[in-house]
Amino acid sequence: MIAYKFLCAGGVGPFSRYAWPLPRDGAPGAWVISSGDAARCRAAVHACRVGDLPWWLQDELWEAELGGEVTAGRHKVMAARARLLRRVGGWDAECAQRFADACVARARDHAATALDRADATDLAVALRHAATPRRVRETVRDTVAPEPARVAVSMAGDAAIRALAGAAVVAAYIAAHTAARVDGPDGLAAERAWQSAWLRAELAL
Amino acid sequence: MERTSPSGGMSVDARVEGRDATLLAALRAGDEAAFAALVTRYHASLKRVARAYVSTDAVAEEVVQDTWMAAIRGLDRFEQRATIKTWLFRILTNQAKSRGMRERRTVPFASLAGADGEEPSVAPDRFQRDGDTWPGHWAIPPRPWQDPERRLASLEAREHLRAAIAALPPTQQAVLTLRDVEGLESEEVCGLLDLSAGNQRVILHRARARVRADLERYFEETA
Amino acid sequence: MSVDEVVCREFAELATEYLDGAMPDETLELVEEHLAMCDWCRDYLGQIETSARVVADAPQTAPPAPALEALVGAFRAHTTEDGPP
Repeated sequence: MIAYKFLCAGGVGPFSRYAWPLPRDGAPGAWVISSGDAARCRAAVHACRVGDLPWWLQDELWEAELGGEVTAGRHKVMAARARLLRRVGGWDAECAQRFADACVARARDHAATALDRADATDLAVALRHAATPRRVRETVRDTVAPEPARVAVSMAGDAAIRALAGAAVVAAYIAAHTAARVDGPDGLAAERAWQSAWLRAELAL
Repeated sequence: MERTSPSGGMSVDARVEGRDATLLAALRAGDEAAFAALVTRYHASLKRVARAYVSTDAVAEEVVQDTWMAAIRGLDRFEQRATIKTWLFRILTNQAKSRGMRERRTVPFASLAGADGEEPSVAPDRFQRDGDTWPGHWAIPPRPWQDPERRLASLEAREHLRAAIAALPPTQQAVLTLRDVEGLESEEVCGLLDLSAGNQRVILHRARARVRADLERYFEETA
Repeated sequence: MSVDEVVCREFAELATEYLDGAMPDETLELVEEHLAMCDWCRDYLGQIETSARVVADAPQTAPPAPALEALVGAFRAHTTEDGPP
């Protein structure tokens, strides 16, 4: 089964700090074998399906082959063994920034929806006009939102702040929770699905 | 989680066993220097654990003395099924328990643990509250520590750290000493102190969290 | 919020359980999802680890000299009275 792994710079696991064997001269990296029961989160090798990617963003994205028993977790898969096939070159700092900026726009739009629902249409229009994260940050700072929309607007501002700091995984989290704030758990799921689709299209996965 | 295979060479257990065997032989041969070194090495940790069972520092000191006396007497019978370290702490907890009972302190260790209270490990005002944008998320996040080991190398810093440990409630000091200072495994510590794994972990965490908070303050003040 | 997640205030209580590898799988998943996006909690975790490490190097008070002397004396007496094997 083909899946994906986000690793820190140099092919290092973000939790295990394990240095993954990297592909060389066109050959896949060596198999990494789980330490025990592959259905147990603690023991298994972890990987992402496309739908899982937004939760795990890191420096490097790798395509991986999974072997043996594969179990689905909440937002990951667990396998008995895995090996890296190739680096997904399209995922780099610039791509991460574009993704973060896209998430800010989404959070902004959800916040604007909240303003509309709170009958603060003028504020909603002004917010939708904020075309960049910097503008979103400034607009949120200058907006006194009515109580029903206050938190959503604040969230959009936070998305902008974190995107400006280059924290793509946080911007994605915030966008998802802004959607949840406005449209509940279904909104959150839809937002994460939008994020996965963006990554799939951008990276041709 | 991915694991690399262990490196070659002797396991930690085998090395400890070897050192213990050498030490045991020396002690049985009457090597006073080896005995004095052993007493010096374990004094502070034994006392910290004893202090969790008895009411004063002075009594804890006596319990430690009694422990060494019992160890001297039991040296010939010690079969090395456990490490010398574990053996010493077992003698100590037995001594401390009976001394604690003689003091009419009938509260068992586990209840003392509960008496530390339901304090959260981090002050609540460090987190956002209901009504804030992100309830439960950091409001005042921890500041990254730059090179903590180097900053703790000075005499003043080390003394500060010793005082921070000494300021912990006795049960937290005991668990922190056995787990993090003496490196005993969780199961061993539970056996020594009659604690459930969960209880032991909570106490350890609170102790570590207090030390962390103390170091955080220290690093801010000495920045 | 009906979202299933572990947030910072909860993780602050769970750091030692996480480091011990003693966490049930369901919680571990939520914790890892959180750590993947929360650099503050990763810092906190690292600081707990550091605290656990540095206490091992804290200065240890020595036994009072008279107490040590008395013990060495007892040790001497005990091994002398047994005599060599």
